[in-house]
Amino acid sequence: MSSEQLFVALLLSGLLTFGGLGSIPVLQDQLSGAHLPVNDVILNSIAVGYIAPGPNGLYLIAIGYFIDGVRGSLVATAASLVPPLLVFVLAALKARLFHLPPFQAGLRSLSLAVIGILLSSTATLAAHASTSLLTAALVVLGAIALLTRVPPALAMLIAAGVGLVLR
Amino acid sequence: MSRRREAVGVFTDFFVIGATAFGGGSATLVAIQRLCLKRGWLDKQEFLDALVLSRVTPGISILAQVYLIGRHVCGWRGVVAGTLGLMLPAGAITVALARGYTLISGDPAAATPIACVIAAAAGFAVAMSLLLLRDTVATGRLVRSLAGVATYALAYHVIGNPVAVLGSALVVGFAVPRLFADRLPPYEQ
Repeated sequence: MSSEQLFVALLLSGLLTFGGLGSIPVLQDQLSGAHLPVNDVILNSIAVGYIAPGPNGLYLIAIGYFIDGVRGSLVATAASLVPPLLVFVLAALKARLFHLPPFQAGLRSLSLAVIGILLSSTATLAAHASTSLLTAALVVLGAIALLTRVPPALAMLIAAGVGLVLR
Repeated sequence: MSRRREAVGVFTDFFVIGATAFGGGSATLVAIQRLCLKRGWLDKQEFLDALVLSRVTPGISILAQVYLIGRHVCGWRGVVAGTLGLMLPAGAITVALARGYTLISGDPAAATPIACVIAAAAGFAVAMSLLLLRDTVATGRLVRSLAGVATYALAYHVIGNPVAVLGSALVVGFAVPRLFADRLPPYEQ
């Protein structure tokens, strides 16, 4: 996969979705033609992204690294910086657009679609990661940990510890 | 204070957050809110307005918020300073962790621990989807929202192309607004 292709894939995944992990479904689709173990790359990147400081969306930098080393991480960083620039356009148009029913409805419909495809994609990732009874249990425990506000890095450490003991 | 000095201050403050805000997006958001209130850059309402606006912006919403805060403090210099401050340490640590992860994953003894970490990460992703579902449903009518989510999930399952589904969702929303415009966003209420 060339740097240009990686940039376009990451840019598109950011432009069409909201929030940190909202980009997963579009990324799965965009990277599927690149002869990569897409789900493995994404899951490894999410793990790294949750251990690192900063926004969850920085898992994209880890994706860039896993695909093309430091150059890939720089490409991913550049691609991540572009979509949020639209906040200035939205800030300028807020007073004129945000009260219009079609604009609200378009945004609402898009939000529901992002959630719908994200639920479907993350279910696929969970199934992919559940390679044994142990890992299936850890998928469930990982979800519970995040929902109950256990620090993600601590949860990762515990999961790694369980793996070390039971290997 | 000169704009240049303000920009240096923005860079330094966001650098500290980018290097220390472990715990995902919510930890980063809390740190940014504390910083804004402590420095007097934004009051609580202004922070909330910026938060809402960044949530409807494509891409990483915390970056959108940093852009808004930086511009509010000292214009475009603040945007650049805040972005560099947050991204330099967070990006460098992410790359270092990814490098370490790559090195460890080559060791057969690490296979089970890594499979366990990946499983936990998959659980995080599922939980994050559920949290997003909860937040989105909370701002609209329950049944209508769930029906919308289920319809788009089904469409994705059938079509298999997320870009097509997202594009169609936007068009449907604009074309038939009464299907979706059931409640105004928080800043309009």
